[in-house]
Amino acid sequence: MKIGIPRALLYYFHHDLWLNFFKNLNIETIVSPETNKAIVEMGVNNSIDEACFSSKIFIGHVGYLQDKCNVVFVPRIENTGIREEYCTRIFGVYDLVRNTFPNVKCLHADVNYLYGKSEPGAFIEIGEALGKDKSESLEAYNNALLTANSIKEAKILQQEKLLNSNGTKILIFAHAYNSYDAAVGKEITDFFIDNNIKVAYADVINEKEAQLLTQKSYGKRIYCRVTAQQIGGIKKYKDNVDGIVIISTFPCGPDAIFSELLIRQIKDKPILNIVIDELDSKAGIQTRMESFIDIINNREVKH
Amino acid sequence: MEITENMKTTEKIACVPTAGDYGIITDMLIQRCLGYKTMPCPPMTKRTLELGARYSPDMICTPFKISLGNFIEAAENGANVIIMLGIVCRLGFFDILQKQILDDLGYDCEMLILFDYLPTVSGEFPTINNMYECLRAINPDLTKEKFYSIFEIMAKVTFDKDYLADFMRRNIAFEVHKGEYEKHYNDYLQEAGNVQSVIEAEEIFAKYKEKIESVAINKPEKPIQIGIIGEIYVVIEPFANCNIEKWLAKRKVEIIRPSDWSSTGVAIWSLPELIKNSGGYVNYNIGSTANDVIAQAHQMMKGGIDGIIHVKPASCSPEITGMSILQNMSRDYNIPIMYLTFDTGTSETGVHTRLEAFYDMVTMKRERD
Repeated sequence: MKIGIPRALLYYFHHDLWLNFFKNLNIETIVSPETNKAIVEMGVNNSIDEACFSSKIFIGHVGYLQDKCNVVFVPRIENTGIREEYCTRIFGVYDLVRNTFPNVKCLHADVNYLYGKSEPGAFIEIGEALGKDKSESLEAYNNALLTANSIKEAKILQQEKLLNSNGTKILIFAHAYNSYDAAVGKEITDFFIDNNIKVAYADVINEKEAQLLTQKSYGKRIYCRVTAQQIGGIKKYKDNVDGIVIISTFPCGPDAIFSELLIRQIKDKPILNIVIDELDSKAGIQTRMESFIDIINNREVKH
Repeated sequence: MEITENMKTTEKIACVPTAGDYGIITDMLIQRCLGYKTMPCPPMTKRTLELGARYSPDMICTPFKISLGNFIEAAENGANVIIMLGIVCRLGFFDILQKQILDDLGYDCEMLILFDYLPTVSGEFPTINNMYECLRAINPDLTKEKFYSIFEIMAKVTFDKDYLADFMRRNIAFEVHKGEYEKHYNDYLQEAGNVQSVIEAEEIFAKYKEKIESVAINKPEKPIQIGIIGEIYVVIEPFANCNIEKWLAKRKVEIIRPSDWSSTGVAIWSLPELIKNSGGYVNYNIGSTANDVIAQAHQMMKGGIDGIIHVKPASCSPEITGMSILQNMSRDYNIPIMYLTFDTGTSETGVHTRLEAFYDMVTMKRERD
């Protein structure tokens, strides 16, 4: 039994948990490679043209995996509690895959706390589908969760160190599946790093802390969990950086609202808003990044 | 900005974005539950769209742009409270950004959101109580009894109105004297907006039901049936969908359009039912009203409809997920679906050309079969 894991969407939030869970159960996994041209093409060809670019990338990864494994892992997370929803794209993803690739076998689980479907329950369900009993799955899950959490904490500490160090720094405001994807955000962050600019991410923050920070300004109004966390990150790290870079894929609903809101509300930091789709020319974006770097550096000279 | 008479006084004048002919219902809610005066949004024109598009982010879906245009025009005319309805999808965030945009433009308005987030917990209807809590937070004098009696009237009028509108849509293409339906229907709306009790609403409904059902029609036994499905705002707001219903009504077509506040309002809270009615094409919630749309399409196809038109605003992600599923359904049942996306730049002529081609195709298919 070999499980294919698409390197897209939810993968970027939970990969440490998933991979360790399967490793603890001694199940072979194959993760699709970093998004490349062929994967993008596969995704674009198999999606509705108006779908968001991140979702096209996901479809591309599933397409890549379809003949390389026995089942493809396509979980869906609808919410993690009241006022903690995920994007409709993410909770529609299982039905989308099933209708796009009717021949692909999906290993899936449903996380929906409002309907009493919790995360541990979902992993037990997955374990059952793989022929493991309840206690075995639960143990694998708990161990994987510990590992994943310690990796997350180390990342947060590392980022805090980076933010307190000297040098020019920028903060990336983007969903994890955009900021780390090779076809979306990775080229952008790499470009800044190559130009001696340190890159921090708004979503690398303790979840509880982020929620409290977001609630300070918006109450519990922002029920999109991923975005709420990023906004908490912006509130926390904003004063330690020289500029903010917003990366989103076309067309993203929550990003459309909140990137505009950030641009309108943050007056003391330069902001670069990059929207990416499958047609973008990299040269155009590079020019914009170069001039953004000039802006940050000039501001520093003036101060 | 000119300061009008209304703004000098502290009287609250509220404006709710236009959504089809549901103005009478929202007015009832605002006037009776909150005690604000209401002001209808100025009729939508090209200017509304232009204003909305100019000040909105470009990726946002069309309802945001249109309602922002509505609000700017209403604020120009002296509205000082802007009311937005939330409920599903990202509608619950609209007001945060719209308030910021209106502030930046210099309009001094209060912005309220009603029902920003009503979760569907275990398929239960959310919660008329939630609605009450939400309204009481704005108007502490609202008692539970009063809210329930108002809600009852609103629900009654919504269901009645939707019944009449649905009956009219199915038959309007075949009326003998043009304009009769519309006249009765508009009279009904006029009278229904002022009802004070459920009994009174029932009387008015009975009166107009009789009038509307007895309009002379010349309907063939098996007329061409075209279904309209899609994102609810675009479905119910004729200005947002380039008036496709009116266009179809001129072509001897029976229009089946199940989406309206009463049926969708009930349907989206009974998700398991919707999934059961989708013939195995969907297993889970795919967001907003898209599950309802899939279930509607499946019922229509099983009933042997001639063609379906799917409408949605640009960048509506639940409906885009739904489209992948509808495409499969359309292929399996061999029934055509035309997908129309509406944005602020959509030209009415372009849409009508596509409708014409679709209508021709559907009639030819009928003759051939």
